[in-house]
Amino acid sequence: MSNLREEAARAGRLIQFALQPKAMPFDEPEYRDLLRQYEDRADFRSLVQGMAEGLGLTILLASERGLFLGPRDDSVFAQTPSEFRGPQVSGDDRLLDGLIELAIAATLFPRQRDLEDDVLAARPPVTIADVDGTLRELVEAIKQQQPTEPDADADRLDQGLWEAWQVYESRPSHRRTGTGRASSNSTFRIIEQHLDRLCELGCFTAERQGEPVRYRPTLRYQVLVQELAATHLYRRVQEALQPDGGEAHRTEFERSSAPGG
Amino acid sequence: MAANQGQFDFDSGGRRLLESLTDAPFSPTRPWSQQLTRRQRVLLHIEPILRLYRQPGTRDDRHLQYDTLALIVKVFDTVIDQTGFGSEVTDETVLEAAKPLLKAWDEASGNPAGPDVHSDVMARILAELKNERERQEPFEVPYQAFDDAGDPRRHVLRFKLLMEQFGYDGGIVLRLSSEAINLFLNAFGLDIEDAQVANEAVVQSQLERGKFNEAVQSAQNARGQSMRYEAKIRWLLLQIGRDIDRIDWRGEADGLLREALEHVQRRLHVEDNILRSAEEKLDNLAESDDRRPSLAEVIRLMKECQRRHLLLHEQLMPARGEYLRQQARQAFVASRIRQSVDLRDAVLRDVLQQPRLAATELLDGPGGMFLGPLPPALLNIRALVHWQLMPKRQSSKGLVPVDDLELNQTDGSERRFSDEAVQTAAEFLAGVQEKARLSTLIGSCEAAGHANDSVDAMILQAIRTFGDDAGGLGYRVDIAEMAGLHQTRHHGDDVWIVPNGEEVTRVEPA
Repeated sequence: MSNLREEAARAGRLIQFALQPKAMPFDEPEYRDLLRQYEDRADFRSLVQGMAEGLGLTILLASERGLFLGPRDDSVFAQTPSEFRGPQVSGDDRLLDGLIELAIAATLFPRQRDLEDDVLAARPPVTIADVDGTLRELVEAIKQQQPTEPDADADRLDQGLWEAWQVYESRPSHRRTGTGRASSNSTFRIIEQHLDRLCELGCFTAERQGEPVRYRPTLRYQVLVQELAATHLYRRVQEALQPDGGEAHRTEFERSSAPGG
Repeated sequence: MAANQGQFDFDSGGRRLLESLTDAPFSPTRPWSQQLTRRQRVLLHIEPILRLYRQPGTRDDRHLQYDTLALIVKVFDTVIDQTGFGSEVTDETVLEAAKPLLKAWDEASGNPAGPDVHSDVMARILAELKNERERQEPFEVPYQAFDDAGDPRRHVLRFKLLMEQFGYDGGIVLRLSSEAINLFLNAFGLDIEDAQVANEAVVQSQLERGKFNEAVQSAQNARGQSMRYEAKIRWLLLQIGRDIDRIDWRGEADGLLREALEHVQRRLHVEDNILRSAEEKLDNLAESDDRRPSLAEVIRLMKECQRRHLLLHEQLMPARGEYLRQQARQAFVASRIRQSVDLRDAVLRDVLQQPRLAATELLDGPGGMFLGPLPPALLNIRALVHWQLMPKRQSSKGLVPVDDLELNQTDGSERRFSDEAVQTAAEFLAGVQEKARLSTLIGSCEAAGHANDSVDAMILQAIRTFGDDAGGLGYRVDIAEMAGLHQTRHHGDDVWIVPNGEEVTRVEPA
């Protein structure tokens, strides 16, 4: 019994290390040792996996560089993009937060083959302008496809029928206050806030020695996007778009594990 | 095989190597062969390096005394030589390694340059080798070749030279691509397995013949090849793990893993024999013998090869059994998570075209997709008490920069609901045509895709109107059923929403 208890404590300790964004096996001998046990011992690996599952966490990667976790939808460890701004945000602000989080990932991994690359291959850094450029470019392309109807936008706005791209387009990239500071309403400022927040969470590091500031993704962020988030969001979008609820995009495993499947 | 018994000979891989060096016999009916295409591709790999070497636009006047090609070779050498267990190569490492060369050129030209110039020169070379101009994408070199029918075909060769990877400490380190290692080791056109066999056979031969200085070079090659083979196996394991559903497992992946394991086992055996032989020779050399350092270096390099292969062996040993077990259970975690996704054009673009409410629900839903797991904050009584007992913070007097507030930032009232939510709720209630229960309206409101905020605002507006018999808002509210409201997020008394002009049926409390 005491052995089981000690094993469980070790498994919990490993998950705790994995939940600390800046903990590195390189700096922590205990973390390194626990990872070695995870790789070498099937019983310990199974215990850690079970514990993570109970906490609503998915193990995305275990290597000598760390244990990387992703949250499930119902996990207490899950966050929403707008969470860090507090509850006092408008619907459009929540939308912008979500769009920007997605655009940061899409700027780093613009094509399918980028997501399929080795997670250890570091993606090049991005700037605030790169992320804004990704969104503005797509917005412009969508706008070109729209039929031109005078005053249609205003009517649709009155009816609350704007599409997401129009919300982004309505915000300026740059705006300065009277003292020359960046306005909190400009998309550059919102992107900056998100990237800074991602730095705090150990997902990016900022290279501030030159202009403009370059944000480089960490391995934690790359694993999260490449192994979980991109697919997860893709399926969610397909479910929303497809008349069959995205059934065609679900894997055999998901279909068989669904209730009644 | 002779090589397996530790004596100098080529094993089957070595024979394949020799065969591959012999081109197919010329045939007048076939003016082109795929062997020629392979050789053409070998030559194309030098293109980005020569472009960098020749392009005057990238050469600053201050840098004219430096030879770019020599510096590129030094970069390759540094990355191969200094990447090892416990040591990583960064941009700074490369700069330090190149400094003696840069200083030598300065002295020879009589044009001394400062550290800034040195670091600029190396930064430019590293940026070009990483292809930073194209965001570190692979180089793309177009070429033409002929297919089996003799028709010309256009192709594009894509490859990387210098790559950035995550190191063990989480920092960014430099790695040579497989192509760059080949280029550096003159091993293009050979299978990595063949090249490894050949290199180790050469080391063994040179040791037997007492050519220790030459053996150092061959051992360095063997070390480079072991790094390249490690990258190949890592890639293989990654792909198998990701695409287990799509792979013809029995026929392909299983065979690849078995071959890799056998190859590594053979390498370990051969390396063990080389090391034993080299250590024996070292013991027999006099302390003053000037060949000792070379022999010691060969031993060091071969030990590193052996260690790398041991680690690969550890990964490959359980891999087959583990993957077969996972496949049998059809529960391989990675395969059920991952899917090929075009994040920019198939996800972001689709989301941008969604109505704003639908897009918000998609992106700001639960899951914390791009943020990773974060432990929820728990109340810490000790910290709370400590905070409460802290002395009052001194207010700082003096000038403090104050941000200009914009008009849209000066809303002083703290409101639970946005204008949009309140308006949606009001419109929904005003649109009720006939008497309806609040529980029914909640369901309709959610089914119409309105956000939770709008639903909550509607409930609160209805409750606020309760008891207003004048029906000032166009409807009245009265009790329908005590404790009759049971929704996922709401519980309590259910009420009627009655448009003006309709009868209210009062229900006595149970």
